[in-house]
Amino acid sequence: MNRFNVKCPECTYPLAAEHYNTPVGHQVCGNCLSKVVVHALPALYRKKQSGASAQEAGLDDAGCYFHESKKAAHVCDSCGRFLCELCALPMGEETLCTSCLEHHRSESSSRHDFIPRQFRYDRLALGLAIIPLVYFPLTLFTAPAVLFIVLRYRKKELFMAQHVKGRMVTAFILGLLEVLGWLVAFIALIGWFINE
Amino acid sequence: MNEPSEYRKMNRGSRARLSLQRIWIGRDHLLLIRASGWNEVYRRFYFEDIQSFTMIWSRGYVIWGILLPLLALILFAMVWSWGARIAAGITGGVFLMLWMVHLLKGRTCKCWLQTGINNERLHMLKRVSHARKFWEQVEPLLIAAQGDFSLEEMDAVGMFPDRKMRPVPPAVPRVDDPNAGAEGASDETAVVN
Ligand SMILES: [Zn+2]
Ligand SMILES: [Zn+2]
Ligand SMILES: [Zn+2]
Repeated sequence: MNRFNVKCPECTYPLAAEHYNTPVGHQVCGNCLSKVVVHALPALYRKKQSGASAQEAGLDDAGCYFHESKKAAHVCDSCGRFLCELCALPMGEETLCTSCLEHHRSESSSRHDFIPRQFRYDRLALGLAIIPLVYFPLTLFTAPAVLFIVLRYRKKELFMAQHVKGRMVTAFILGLLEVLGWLVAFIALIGWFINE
Repeated sequence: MNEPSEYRKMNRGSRARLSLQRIWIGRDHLLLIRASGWNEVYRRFYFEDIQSFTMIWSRGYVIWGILLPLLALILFAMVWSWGARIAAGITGGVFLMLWMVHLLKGRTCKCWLQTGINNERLHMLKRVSHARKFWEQVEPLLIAAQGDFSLEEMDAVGMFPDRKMRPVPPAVPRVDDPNAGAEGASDETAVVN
């Protein structure tokens, strides 16, 4: 048995490597009898290059920004700092330093391609505009909130989001109608009081 | 800002455990987007880190293949017994349609994407045909980033050492062994001289 064998996702029993990447067919898990198809890649058994060990810097070598005594072997693609093998973080085709990665993972970064999560204000606005309609009195509170969210976040750029503008505009129109509805109701109520 | 055009859409999202999951192909990674309520969580799988794609044929195909026509029959009989013949026809027809669609979509499956860190279930791949299409698109990108899988290389790197083949540590010379002592002494004298 090989220590790199892919485990059965149902029962973690190791699956026979002879049947990986066969164009058709499947193998049967030796433990739970599930029919499994495994496509494996070299990353399964190859070690990642970086992080192995950083060389000491010689007299003529550039040192790592974070460890002066270590030899620089990479450059951060974001800030340009020299990095040793330990400090360089390969992110696909890019190499980043820890501080840049941390920065890019925060909401304040201009780049969005490393963020781990994102709040969808457009969905919230539309949800708040539509859901309370099942019990109309709720819209007395939610409609102003919808207008506030749309006005506050209308310019916020969202990563990988589609139809943001459509949702925002729809939410705004609905929120506005709801507010207008309440205004008309209040005016009518006041008029009725005056007439009494 | 990263333009969405940098990503290619893989497939239409499907409701999975009350969260909407979608997958996109980026320049050097797959982006998995999981929407839960008003939040979106992103997982990135870099092409060079993906170790395997595993698919299990699930029992859903057979189970629904039996259940749906049974449901059609039971509901048809129930509504028919109320005297609503047209409604009975429609109810039965709808379930038979669902059954047909289910059969046409083919076998059901569960899929996982494994990296060195985790094994992520891909909830949106529910049919073998979809999973195959997904893999047809992704595999060339992964091979371009990593090269081809080689069983020989994997065996060479990862085989557990055979217990019998384990190298035997050299025997520690015993202090009371006259030979060992004599050899050591003679070596030492040679160096001194
Ligand atoms: Zn199993
Ligand atoms: Zn940096
Ligand atoms: Zn360093």
